Amino acid sequence: MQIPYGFLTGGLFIAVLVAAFASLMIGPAAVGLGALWGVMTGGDVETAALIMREIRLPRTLLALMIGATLGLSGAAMQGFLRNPLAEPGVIGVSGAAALGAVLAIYTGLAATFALALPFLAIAGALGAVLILHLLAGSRSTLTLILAGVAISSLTGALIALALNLSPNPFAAYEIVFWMLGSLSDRSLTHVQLAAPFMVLGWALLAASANGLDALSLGEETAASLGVDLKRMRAFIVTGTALSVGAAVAVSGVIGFVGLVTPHLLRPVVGHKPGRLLLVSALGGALLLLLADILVRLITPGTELKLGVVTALIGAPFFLYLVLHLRLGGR
Amino acid sequence: MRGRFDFKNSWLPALCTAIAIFCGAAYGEDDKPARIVSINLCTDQMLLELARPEQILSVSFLAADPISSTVADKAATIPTNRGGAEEILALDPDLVLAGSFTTRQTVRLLRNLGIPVAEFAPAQSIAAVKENYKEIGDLIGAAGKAEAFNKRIDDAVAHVASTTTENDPKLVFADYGVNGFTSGKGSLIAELATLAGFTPLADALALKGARRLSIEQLLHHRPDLLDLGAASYAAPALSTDALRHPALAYLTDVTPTVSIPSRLTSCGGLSVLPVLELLVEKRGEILAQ
Repeated sequence: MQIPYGFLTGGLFIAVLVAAFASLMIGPAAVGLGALWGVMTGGDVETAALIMREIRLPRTLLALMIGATLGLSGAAMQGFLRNPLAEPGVIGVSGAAALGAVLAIYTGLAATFALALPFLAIAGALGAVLILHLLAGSRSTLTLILAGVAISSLTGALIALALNLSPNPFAAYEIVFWMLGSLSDRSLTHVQLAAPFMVLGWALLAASANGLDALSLGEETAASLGVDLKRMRAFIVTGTALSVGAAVAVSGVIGFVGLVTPHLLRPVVGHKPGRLLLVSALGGALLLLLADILVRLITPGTELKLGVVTALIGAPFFLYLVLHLRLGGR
Repeated sequence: MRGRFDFKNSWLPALCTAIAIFCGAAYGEDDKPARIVSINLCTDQMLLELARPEQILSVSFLAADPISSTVADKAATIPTNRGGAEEILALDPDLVLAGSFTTRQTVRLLRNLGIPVAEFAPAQSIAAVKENYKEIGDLIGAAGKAEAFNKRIDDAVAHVASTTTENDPKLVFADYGVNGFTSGKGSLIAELATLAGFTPLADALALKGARRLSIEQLLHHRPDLLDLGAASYAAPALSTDALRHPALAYLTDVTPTVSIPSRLTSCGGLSVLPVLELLVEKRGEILAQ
């Protein structure tokens, strides 16, 4: 069921716009579009504008950009490692980025030097990608997953340790935020902090689209086609670390978006890893926007963590993939 | 295996009985407990206020923390504990004061070993504050002092009640704390605000107790007086940093604010009196404008 590329990207783009608009319209202050329109056109224009600009806009922008980051980096890693289970959340890249972010925030470093937050998160992500690349390369699915599990549990433990050592009594409860992610009460400051790095990462990942297509035919073939494998590797490793690191620094770990999206869209673009990148970025943005709308609708007031919804969708899908591939097979 | 079982069966009860007899003896001599240990911040505070210093063996570590405790200065010279059964046993107390929601395992263990434990719920109303003062006062032989405290509270409440009337304009008060929590009926701060002539925002929205309110809702409802005093922690955390959200900063620019540290109302005690005074004063300022 292949869909023409232009048609597919156009359709996804429109769907993302619609979801972003819905995300702007949904919130606890005035439930329903009509009520909000009434507020905006009626008396208290100032408050409505403030809510839009300072609370809902950053939330929508972050869902869009982080979703795109996860979809794009998932597709790039799956193509690059030629491994269908690669995904920043599952294999510990997001966890390592979260550890960097936790260290930046709770030591007070981020308060004195704001860029320390994305910098340390990116450093964490970079470290994890490099370790995974060294350990697992593109050889075995099983090695990759095991290395990912090791990194995930180690970073999880270190995050818990760092938060428990904080003298602020509320810090320990924030383990949930870092493990399951959330976009509530983020501000435009967070968007400004993360956006430049995410965009830079996207550019690096997008630049490797042709190389990924060639790589799907095998390393030798790719090299003979004139693809500079070393350069491409550097692009993908750095691009993933920059975009995922910056995303996790402001949202915590949101799992499975980078796993599910490329898998759902791969058959539709005809198994071309290069073409999958843009489509998967759009799909990731759409998925995260919808998930973030869902957390606000399921339990208004006491918001569910975003990672709960993405894991409820993603984890069964992951199990299905594991069964389907029967691991160790490759 | 069986031998170990017998050991347990014969020695543990004997030990408990020994301690129980000892405790009983200690009680018999003086009639008032003289070796009191408190393992909960709320009972710490009342104990430090009511008891003679020589009666107190140990209070919880939170009592000496100036951010959490209203009587940190009094606790400074007293050994602190972290509420573990072992360290309490080693102190050999004749009365343990505990909260009724925390350190449940410790309380059960101490009771099994025959140590008298008195439990108190954190006071969520002025009536409960007075009741806790009275009970602890009776228990430790400071009934007179407790009575004097309660009279001061009654007098302050009566005085405030005489200054407000039914016809005054209704002002809305909202406290906005860590993780976006606000307080309604069944919390001390909401009762104090009501006494001072405010309507707590949570009451207006029919929310009871401590409830989460989004910044959006707070902006939408525009309280007349805003209290952001709960987050007075020096160490960074996301939940306290959230109170620096630009949208909240805008709201505090256009709304009168107070800063009531949560320690003054988290347990309740004489510490609620300055809070009541501050709220009444703020109300006068707002009405004068």
